[in-house]
Amino acid sequence: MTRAVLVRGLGKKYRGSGWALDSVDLDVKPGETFALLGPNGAGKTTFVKCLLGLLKPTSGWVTLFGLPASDPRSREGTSFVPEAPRFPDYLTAREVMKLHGRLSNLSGDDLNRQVDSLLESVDLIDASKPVREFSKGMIRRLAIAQGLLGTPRLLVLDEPSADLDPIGRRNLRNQLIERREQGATIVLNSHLLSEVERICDHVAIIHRGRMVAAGSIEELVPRGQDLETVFVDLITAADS
Amino acid sequence: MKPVLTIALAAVREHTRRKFLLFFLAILLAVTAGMIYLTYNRTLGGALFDAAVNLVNVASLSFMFFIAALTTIAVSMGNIGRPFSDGEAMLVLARPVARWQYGIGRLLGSVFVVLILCLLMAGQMQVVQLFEDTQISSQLPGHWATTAFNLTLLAAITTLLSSLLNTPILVAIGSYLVYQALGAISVLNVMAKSDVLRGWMAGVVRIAYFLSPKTLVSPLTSAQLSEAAPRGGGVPSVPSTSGGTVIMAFVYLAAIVLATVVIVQRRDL
Repeated sequence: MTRAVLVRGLGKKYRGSGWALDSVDLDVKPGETFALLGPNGAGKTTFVKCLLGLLKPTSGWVTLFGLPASDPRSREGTSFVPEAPRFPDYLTAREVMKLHGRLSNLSGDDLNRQVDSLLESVDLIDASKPVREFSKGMIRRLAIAQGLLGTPRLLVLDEPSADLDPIGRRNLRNQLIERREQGATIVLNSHLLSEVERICDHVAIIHRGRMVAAGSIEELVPRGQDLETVFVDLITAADS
Repeated sequence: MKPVLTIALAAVREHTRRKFLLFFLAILLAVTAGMIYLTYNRTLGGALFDAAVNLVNVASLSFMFFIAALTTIAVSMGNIGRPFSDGEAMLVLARPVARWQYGIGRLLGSVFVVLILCLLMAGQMQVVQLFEDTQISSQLPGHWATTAFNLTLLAAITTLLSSLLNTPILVAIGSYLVYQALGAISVLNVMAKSDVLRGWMAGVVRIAYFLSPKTLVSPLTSAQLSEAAPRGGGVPSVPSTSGGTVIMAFVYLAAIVLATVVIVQRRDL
């Protein structure tokens, strides 16, 4: 079966510094909801960027649905919500959504319907001002809305809950659960372990660029413990 | 081609909301009003006044080309480096869009703005023509095609620099200096041809001239308006009526675009 995400020996070394990622292997099957966990500076964002072909790996390779990540066709049906989203300053939320919709091969009534529905769901339907006048929270909500355009088959989210209020977080969680039920593969990079436990069925823990553990939540978290305890124990053990 | 056009049109939409175009339009209207006033009243002040009006009109058209060049630099200076460094390009490139499509789309957005500038300046000249005795309208299409090419070349040079530098203001300064340097090479080449420069210096200048991109010269032949036609501030130039040299000018433009694409393909986000 073709893997949604297949990573082998992935390494990334930035000029003038050490290895941000070192020989990472990972398999994500279609329909899995997968969380990438790790302390700050562990290499999670670098991993996500390599996954989407935004960074060129120093070693190893990545495929999305059987195609190399460097091939733009591998990103058909893929959406990304970055940690620090930026949009063209002078476009409105609707124009940003239409830009991303068209780049995802949506058009006509279907595009307009999805844009209206998603802007409504993130409470930006009446936002007619340019993006440069948006608050951090509004930009985050717009990033989530563009990420949900076009029924994505792979949704990659890097710290999507940052800057969101509790209502926004609940809405995001519901949207992700809905996409999961529609069969989307989700790769979630988050510090909110309680959120991860609610949404995800598989996790990988990365520390100092190396994979420390990977598997289903049932496999990794013994009965009577929670993900946070397991996470802290694994990182402490890796440090010592 | 669809992603390229989508990115280009989004860039145009963004540029048209910036203050650069409003600034350009305000200057254009002021200059046009001044030219019309002087041209309309040229018969009132005798031969000396008539000559002064011609001089001011020539200077005004050159000044508008200079403002158009600055506007072109302003809309192109943030084409690649800024969106790559601040993360704006990341969201677009996470879609099924190739990097070369992003680079070409951004450049095309600048070229569309250049065409808008040329249309506005063509409108200005046409309006002033209504008050002139000598009509040159049959030569205007070639003239504006030439101007559009020269501004497109400037947009391409600015975009190439923006793929190397992340700070827009440095790109703008660098682009302006490169454009002026091309002018200096042209002057030195004339000096080399007329033996003012000799020996190895003349050789270096000729090689530099051969390697540097060239702008085109307007085909306007009317005595009055061939002087008035903006020529790009003395940048190395070839006549746009000369087929082989025009092809070479396009080859240089294509080389600049190709270099930009190669750099964009290699950049990390």
